[in-house]
Amino acid sequence: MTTEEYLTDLAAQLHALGMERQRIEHVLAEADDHLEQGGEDPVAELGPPREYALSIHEAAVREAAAGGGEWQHWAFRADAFAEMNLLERLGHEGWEVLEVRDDAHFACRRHAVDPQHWAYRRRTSLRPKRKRDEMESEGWVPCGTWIVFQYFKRPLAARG
Amino acid sequence: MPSDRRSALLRGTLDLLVLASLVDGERYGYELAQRLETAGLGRVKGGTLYPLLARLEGSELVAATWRTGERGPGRRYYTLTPGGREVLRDEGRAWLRFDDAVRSLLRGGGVI
Repeated sequence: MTTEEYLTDLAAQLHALGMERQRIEHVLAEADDHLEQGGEDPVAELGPPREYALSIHEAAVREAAAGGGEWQHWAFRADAFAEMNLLERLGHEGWEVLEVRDDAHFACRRHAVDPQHWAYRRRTSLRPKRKRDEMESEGWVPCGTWIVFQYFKRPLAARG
Repeated sequence: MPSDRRSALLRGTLDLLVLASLVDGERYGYELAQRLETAGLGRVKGGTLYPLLARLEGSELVAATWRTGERGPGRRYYTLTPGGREVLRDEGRAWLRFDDAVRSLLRGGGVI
C-alpha cells in the first residue's frame, strides 16, 4: 500500500467515524509528514488504516471528556464493524449511551466526577419485542436501535 | 519474553517519557520518536505515538500548535502544559521510587 493509498483510506475511515474535517486534515498531514521523514511502510509504521483511525478516534473521545459541567455529553458515529469494540471501551470509561440516532450516531453522557461503568450488547432480531423481553429479564436496558440492531446497556456493577 | 517485558515497560512509561522529552522545548511527532530512539528506548512507531499524543492533548498535559511549514504542508508542534509538568513531576517521582525498590530487590537477588 502506497502512502497515498494509505492516507486516502485513513481519511475515509476517519470520516466514517464522524471526525470533523479540519481534524482529519491535521491527522493526515501529521501522518504524511511522519511517513515522509521516516520512509517506512505506512501499514508497518502506523498500523492498518482502520485500526489507526480507531486509535485516534478513541483519543478524541477522551478529548471530549475534557469539557466542563457535571455531565459530559458527546455523540459519535460508528458502524456495525466497529461500534461494539468502541462501546466496550467507552463503557469502561464511564460513557452511557442515551440513544442511537439515525445514521448510527450514538449519543452518550458521562458523569464528570463519579462515572458509572457500562456494559453493552447488540442483538440482531426481526422480532425485536421478544429479544427485548429476553434481554430485559437479564437486567439489560434498551438504549437504541439502528436498522436491525438493538442496543442494550447494563451497569457493570450489576453483572453477576 | 524479553521483548514482551520491554514492550510492557515501555507501555507503562511512554506517557512520562514523552512528557519528559518536551521539558526543554516544543517538538513535533517525528522529532519525539527520534528523541526516544536516541535515548535508547528503541523505535516507537507512529501508530503508538500519535494516539498517545492525542490522549495527552485531550488531558491537557500537552498543547499542540499547528504551523505551516516553508516547504511542507505544516506540522503539529507539541509543548508541555503546566498540568503536564505537574504530572511529570509527581508520576516521575512515583516511578523513581518504584525503580529504587526494583533495583534493591534485583541487587539482593545477585543481579549487578
